[in-house]
Amino acid sequence: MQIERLFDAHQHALFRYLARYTGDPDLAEDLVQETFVRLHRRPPKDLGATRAWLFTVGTNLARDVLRQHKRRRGLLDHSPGRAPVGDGPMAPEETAVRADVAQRVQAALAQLDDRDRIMLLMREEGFTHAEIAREVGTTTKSVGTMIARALDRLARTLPLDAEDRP
Amino acid sequence: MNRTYDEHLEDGALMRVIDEGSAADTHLTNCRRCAERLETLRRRSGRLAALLGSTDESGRALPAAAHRRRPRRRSPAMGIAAVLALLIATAAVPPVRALLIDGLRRVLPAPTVAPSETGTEAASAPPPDSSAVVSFAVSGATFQLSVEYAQPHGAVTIVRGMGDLASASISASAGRESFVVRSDGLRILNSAASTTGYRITLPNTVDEIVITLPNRNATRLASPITDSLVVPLNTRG
Repeated sequence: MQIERLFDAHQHALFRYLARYTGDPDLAEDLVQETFVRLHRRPPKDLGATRAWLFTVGTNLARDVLRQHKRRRGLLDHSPGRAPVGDGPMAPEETAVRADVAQRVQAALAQLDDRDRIMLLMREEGFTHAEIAREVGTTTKSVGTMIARALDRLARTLPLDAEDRP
Repeated sequence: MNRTYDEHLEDGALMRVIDEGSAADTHLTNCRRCAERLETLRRRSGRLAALLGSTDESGRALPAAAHRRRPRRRSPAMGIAAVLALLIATAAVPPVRALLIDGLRRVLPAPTVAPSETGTEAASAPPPDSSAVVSFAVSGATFQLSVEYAQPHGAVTIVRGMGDLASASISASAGRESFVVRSDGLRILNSAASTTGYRITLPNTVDEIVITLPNRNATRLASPITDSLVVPLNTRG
């Protein structure tokens, strides 16, 4: 199995998803590593579904960590807004604005229940309703309704209806 | 668009129009309420994507050296709460080399030695027969080494180095081996078919080595090694 190819193909999306899900980019890095270590050790039988497998494993690992340490609230509340590493330095104003937006987004996501957050974030990564349904254990038909409701809930705390940019 | 209906499209159907390009029901073209709801969901969806995108950090995926620049929150429950996660295997297409190769490409001039915190400190030189080497810091006085599989041939050779960093290398890899650097040591990801050897150089700060091999209990070596320690990997059975 070409793990290198899979890593190149999926690491960024998986990291992005896990960073949003946990609210902790550092933890997300660890989770991405561990997910690919598990892929190396025990790959899925259906290699065609590797992407979904990676997200499922990553989500489960994240859940375990968050549950064991009972610190989800702390993670989501205290870690957002970090400047991205690897990019050039941003202007202070831009950094502050970005941090503020990140904090608001993470706080809003933290208000959602686990399933809604997973659905929204997997949707952002381009998963189909059927794939999301398998991940959260519901029917494909229900996913759209649940996503719509989650968007409604987010709109109460985020400016999703505003015309101007955040 | 001005007609009124007793029944309207469910949100799920509207989201499928947005997400999966489901054919828009003719109802949508005639029902203002459903059209407005579709537009609301579409707008909220787009706004959320924009907000999430504005905080996207995925470009930094696995920036190994960046870990040294700032304190990190640890997650002890994670087997790899690694700080200085550097994973390089051989140049011959190792299976998990890519785990960190991308991050290394971003921060290292050459994928052989990780930079120190100051960027000036040299790591132990790789042995001449190595095709790749990974350097890393050991956080405590105890170094944990674990090996994934027993091998028919090959051994781990542990030597004492002069520098402050540890290093590990794979000799004559067939591309099936790699390392995962952990906060407390190193895990060798090999396969049952591996026959290669591994060389680990430890700094003087390490005074205890705990080795976990397949089919064996962990071995604790309290005495610091003076010359070299050779650990055979043919531990099957």
